[in-house]
Amino acid sequence: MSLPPLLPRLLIVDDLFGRSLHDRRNEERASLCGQYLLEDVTGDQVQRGPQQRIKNPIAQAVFHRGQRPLRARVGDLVENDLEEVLRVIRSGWTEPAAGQTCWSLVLLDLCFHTGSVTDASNRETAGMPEGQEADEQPQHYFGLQILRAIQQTMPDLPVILLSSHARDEVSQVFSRYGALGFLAREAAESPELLRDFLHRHGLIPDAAGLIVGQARPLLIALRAARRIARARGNVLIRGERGCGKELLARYLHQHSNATGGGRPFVTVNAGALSKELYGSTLFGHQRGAFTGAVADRVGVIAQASGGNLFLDEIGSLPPEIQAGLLRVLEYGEVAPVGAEQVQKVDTRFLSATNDDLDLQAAHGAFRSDLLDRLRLGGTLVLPPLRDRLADLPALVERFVREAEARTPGALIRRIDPDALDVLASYHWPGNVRELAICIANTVCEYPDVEHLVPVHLRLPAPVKGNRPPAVLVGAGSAAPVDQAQGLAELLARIQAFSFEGQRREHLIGKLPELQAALAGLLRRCLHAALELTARVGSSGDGPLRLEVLIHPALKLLTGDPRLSAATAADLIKRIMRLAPDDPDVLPADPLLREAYDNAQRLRPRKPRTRKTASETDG
Amino acid sequence: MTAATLPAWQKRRSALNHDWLKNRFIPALAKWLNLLDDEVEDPDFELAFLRTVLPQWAERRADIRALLDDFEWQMSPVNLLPEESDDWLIGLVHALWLQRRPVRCWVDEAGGRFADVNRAYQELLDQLRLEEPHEASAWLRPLRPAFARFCECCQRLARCLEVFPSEIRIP
Repeated sequence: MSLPPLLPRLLIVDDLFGRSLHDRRNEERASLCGQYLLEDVTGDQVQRGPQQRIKNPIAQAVFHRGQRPLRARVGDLVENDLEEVLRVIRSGWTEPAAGQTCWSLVLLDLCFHTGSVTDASNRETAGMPEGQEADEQPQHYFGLQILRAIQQTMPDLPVILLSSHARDEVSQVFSRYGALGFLAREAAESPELLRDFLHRHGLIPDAAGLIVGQARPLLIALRAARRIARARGNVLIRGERGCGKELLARYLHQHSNATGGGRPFVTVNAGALSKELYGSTLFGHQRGAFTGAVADRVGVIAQASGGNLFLDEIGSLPPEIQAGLLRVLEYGEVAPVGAEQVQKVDTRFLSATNDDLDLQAAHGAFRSDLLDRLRLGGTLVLPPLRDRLADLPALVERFVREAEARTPGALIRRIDPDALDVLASYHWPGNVRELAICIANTVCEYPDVEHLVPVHLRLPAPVKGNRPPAVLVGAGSAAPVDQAQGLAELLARIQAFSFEGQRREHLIGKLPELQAALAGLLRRCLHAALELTARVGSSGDGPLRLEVLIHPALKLLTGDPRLSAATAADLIKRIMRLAPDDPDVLPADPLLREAYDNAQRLRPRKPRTRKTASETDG
Repeated sequence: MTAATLPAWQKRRSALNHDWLKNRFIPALAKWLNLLDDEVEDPDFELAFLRTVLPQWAERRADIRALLDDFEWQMSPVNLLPEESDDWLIGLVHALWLQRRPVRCWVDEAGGRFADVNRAYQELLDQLRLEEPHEASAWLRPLRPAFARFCECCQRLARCLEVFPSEIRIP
């Protein structure tokens, strides 16, 4: 279940369209909304008779006059009001109301008419003053004053000029003051023009719902992705682990004019590839190229030709593969392993990393010429979850519903505001992925409740330092403050523990208890590794889901980069079967369950186990 | 050298082109097209469009024609000369202006656009007369191309009027 996408929200600052009338609606505003297909949500329209309705609005619009009084009668003096304009702009920019996005775009008029409202001026246009000469002179345009003030105080705010005056008169000035474009009032194909401006400059949520959220840092990243998407340059996506780099790559792919419409989007996790498989996976191989190459294989670079290749954890590419990749990027040629001829490809690389590749390049661990080519089309930076906590309610809603759908018999629950407060107080080093896992575990552990409350949440201990404080709640939250130190101490105690001198009665029935404790410990350890290496993905336009990656998890746990996928699967099955009571009953933990299922699929044959004493005797 | 205050011609253009044509008339025409496309519902506007909005062209076109006709002399730099200037100087300054700026091209071009609007308007009226005397937009949908043509002509005229200078300058 997903929330309906929000419409973009425009602020239109204009004396003609923004003015409020005492006894009737502003017809000019109604015409503008009908022209651009805008839903007027200003809230000041006089409700009399049938009202205008836009069937499929492009955006919602809030109108502001920029002057006082907002409603002027004959005899009133109309003056520009910079302070009030900035207050209105700021209120919807830095503190949008609950359930609303920040301004997607501000459309700003240039010329604001001031002076007295006379009988004649009121007859011509109700509530409008007669105007003064300075109002019409470009050097005195009030719109440019507003623009300058916005540039000084809210430089990220996207502003487009909407004017009936000549663009040439002000083009240099408005560019210098940071306006992103100029929309002529009389423009033909107005809705299409506005859609295009919104696409290129607007801060708008992902209408497809692939990426959940409307916090400003996220919307800025989405806009950057849309802008980059139209070109074919390679893109580097940076961000902390778990913040959704692959989703952003998919979003970029969806907005690529040249690469959409069924063009391939291929993903590969460079960090999960064994050294032997790098070349074959990326470049492909020919039959007989090496032992085990029983058939030709098309590499992922060729598979993605004409589309996009998402290369995750690019920082873990070994040097020899970096050199091979450089050739692909430089010449658009792939040489499959064992092949004598190269193959032309047109593949755009969307690489992702949470490493500091510039630092790695400075130390010689990553080729700087490769890095330059990987980010030729631009670099996107995804904000961590702690910088977009405004999105927490929507994300929690999404993850709760998905977890309920995955958990048989789980009740649909309300999300208690206190639970959101608790979640918001944690610093989320694992970002959205960590939140998804936390919620999945919560729903799995408490399937039969109708409210998600703080006591259901299990958050790890806070990290020392300048991170925001975490709140510990729920059973089992008394974890050691320093996890690394706690684990070292535990290992030391286990290794040093002696059973010498134990009395007979102290050892009765201790083996099953020790086995259970050890099995639980190993499962929790495995869970932690799976959590760290899982990724949030989706199948096409489907809902988000956690993808468990058993191979990287076991590489992490064993510290063995050469560990094979088969061995990883065997290890997982062994860990799962350590419990003494009923080794076939798997834990409710969805991560472990999925890992076990994956391991079974990969290695359906049971690993050999020692026969127990009773079996031997029998 | 320029005039210290806005010329009267510029004020007239502002009232006609900005305040009326661009800010009110063209948005209303564009909204009407969206209404015919079933994108917008507005019963009040639907009733009023043929009676009060569309005829505004006929009411204002004489003003626009006069604006074009007056441009050459009202925006000529001769308006910056002292009142007691000799006729030969006035003639010389005006001739120099006409020689250095494409004044008559601007006027001719705008005149052509103005004629286009009139033609499109007349075609629209002719087609409307063939229709039954009703106002329901659904019945007027077949006339959408004629409405769109009229709207486009108005947009072109508005852009053309923007090209004229807004200040009186010595050539």
